[in-house]
Amino acid sequence: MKQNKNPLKKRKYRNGFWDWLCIIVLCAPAVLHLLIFWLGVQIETFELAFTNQFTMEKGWDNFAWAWKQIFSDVGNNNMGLAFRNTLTFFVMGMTLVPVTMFFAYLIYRKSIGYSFSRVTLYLPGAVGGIMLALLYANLMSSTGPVMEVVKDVTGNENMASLRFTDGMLYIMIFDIFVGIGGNLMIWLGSMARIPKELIEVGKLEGIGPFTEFRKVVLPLIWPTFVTMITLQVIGIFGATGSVLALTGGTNGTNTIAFWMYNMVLQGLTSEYGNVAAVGLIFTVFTIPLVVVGRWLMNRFGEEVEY
Amino acid sequence: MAKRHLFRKGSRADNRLSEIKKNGALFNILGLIPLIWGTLFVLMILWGFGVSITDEDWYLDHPSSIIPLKLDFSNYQKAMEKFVFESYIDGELVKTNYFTLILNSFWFSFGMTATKMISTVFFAYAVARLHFPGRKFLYVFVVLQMMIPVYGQTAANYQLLDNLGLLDSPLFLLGQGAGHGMYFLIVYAFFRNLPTGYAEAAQIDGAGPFTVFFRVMLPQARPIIVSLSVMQFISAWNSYDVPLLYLPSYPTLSTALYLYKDNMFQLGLSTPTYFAGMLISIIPVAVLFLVFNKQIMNNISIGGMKG
Repeated sequence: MKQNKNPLKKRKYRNGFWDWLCIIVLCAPAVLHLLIFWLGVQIETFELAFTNQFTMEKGWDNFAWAWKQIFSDVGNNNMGLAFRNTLTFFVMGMTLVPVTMFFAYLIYRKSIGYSFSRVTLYLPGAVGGIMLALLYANLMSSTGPVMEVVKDVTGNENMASLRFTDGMLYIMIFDIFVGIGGNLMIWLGSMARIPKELIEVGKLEGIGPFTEFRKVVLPLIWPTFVTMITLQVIGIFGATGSVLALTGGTNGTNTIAFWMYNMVLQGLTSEYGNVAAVGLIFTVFTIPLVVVGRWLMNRFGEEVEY
Repeated sequence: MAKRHLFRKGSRADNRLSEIKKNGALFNILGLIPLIWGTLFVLMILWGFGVSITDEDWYLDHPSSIIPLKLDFSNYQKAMEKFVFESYIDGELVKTNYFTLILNSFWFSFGMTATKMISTVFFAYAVARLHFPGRKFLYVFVVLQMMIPVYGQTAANYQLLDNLGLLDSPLFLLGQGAGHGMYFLIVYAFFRNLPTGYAEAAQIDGAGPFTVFFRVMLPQARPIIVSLSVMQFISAWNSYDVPLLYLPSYPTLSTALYLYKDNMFQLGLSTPTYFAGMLISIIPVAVLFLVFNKQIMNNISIGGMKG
């Protein structure tokens, strides 16, 4: 009997030669990448974490060092501070999720000047965080226009830039400013998929924009909301804000992710083992969050049929 | 009494006005926040442009001025001449001029986009539409892999790239073809929801799996592929941390801008010249964004991630 070569029909893998070749060719780049650059990096991370970089002996030395450091409050840029800063950026990121969603709804519901807002709020995504960070740094410098106004208002001519007086606040103002537009497109894309008829029915019933948001839009974009929140939760220890672009970790703005990046950037090969150990400890901390996250996604993240 | 209309009844402006009125005062007031927010971005960039065309000496005397009163457009020419990136590679001073920085930005961004998109689109289509053992496992694996962020990999990744000879070389791009992640989920969802009609018709006409993919399915996915490619290109163009760490001999414009931000004066660059160099660097991505912004906004959406 002649075999049916239709790969789209649900059958038990009765693929012909060309079907298998197609599968292999299409999967090869991603699977090879996963094996070399994902699995390879995991193996290398464990190798580094369990190797003392001075004696090259295997053991738990790096973990012992890392565990002490995580709770240390010694020095200006200690790991305890980095941990607290990371949590601060995480809370900021979580807060931005619903705020961005509401901004997107205002634009979706055609608020005044919505076309302009839609394009301009995505500007940070287009022109790049580094450029806006440079503009912001100059605006906020001690001789910049913003500080001039602050100096005039407070009457303090010798006032230093916020970068030096409160580095975290300096970064957070910038991150909130540019972060609003960050996921705007994903929200707008999700809202654009809502069938117009549902919105029209609501309008005919005479419901206002806020009721429409609560009763029609939010339930339909709920899977996107759950996904965005869950991704924030599981990325908790990677939260780092614009530390690299704005302060380079100085003035009390170090974070865990920045510390790890900086160790490698500085070429401190002797610290690689410690970096890997710190990372693995935080990965273990993340596992309960991942379990909760998966449960959330499977329980509430299911696609709504419409 | 007949309702008075500011614009011709039934015209677009009239409909828009009645829509705004129906939204209510509170919604309209809240709706002004994104408008003001977006305006602040535009003002910020306009201020940057103002500084870039300000006379250097005048700027030194008036650093906090918002409106430039003495203009000098030659800052752009000076930026291209003076913007020379200096770095020490293996103890030797290496100078990279402005045009090489632009060239580096282009090949880095094109390479990152091409490797990522080819790998992602191929993989997402295979997992979404082809039947083979382990495809469900691959999907769940990709979702799980996104959900378990293993921290502290920078050092291991650096070491691995070094061992493979991909560090500080254009071959670095070979390692950037990750077919998983958020883009995978977007393309996967697209192919899953694509009707099978055209593909089945092609198969009845004798088309093989490659023909179905390249000539039937891929053209239908063009809008989403273009949108994601533009987003990836913009992201790569603006990336400064990746070239900074992995490609020190091939600085891009973003890397140079980042490294010069705190020591521009030592390199003989004034703030207006520096700003001019910075604004030239955003022209390619600004053009891409302006051309494709509607397409991007209409094609990107993610839903739930079950796995």
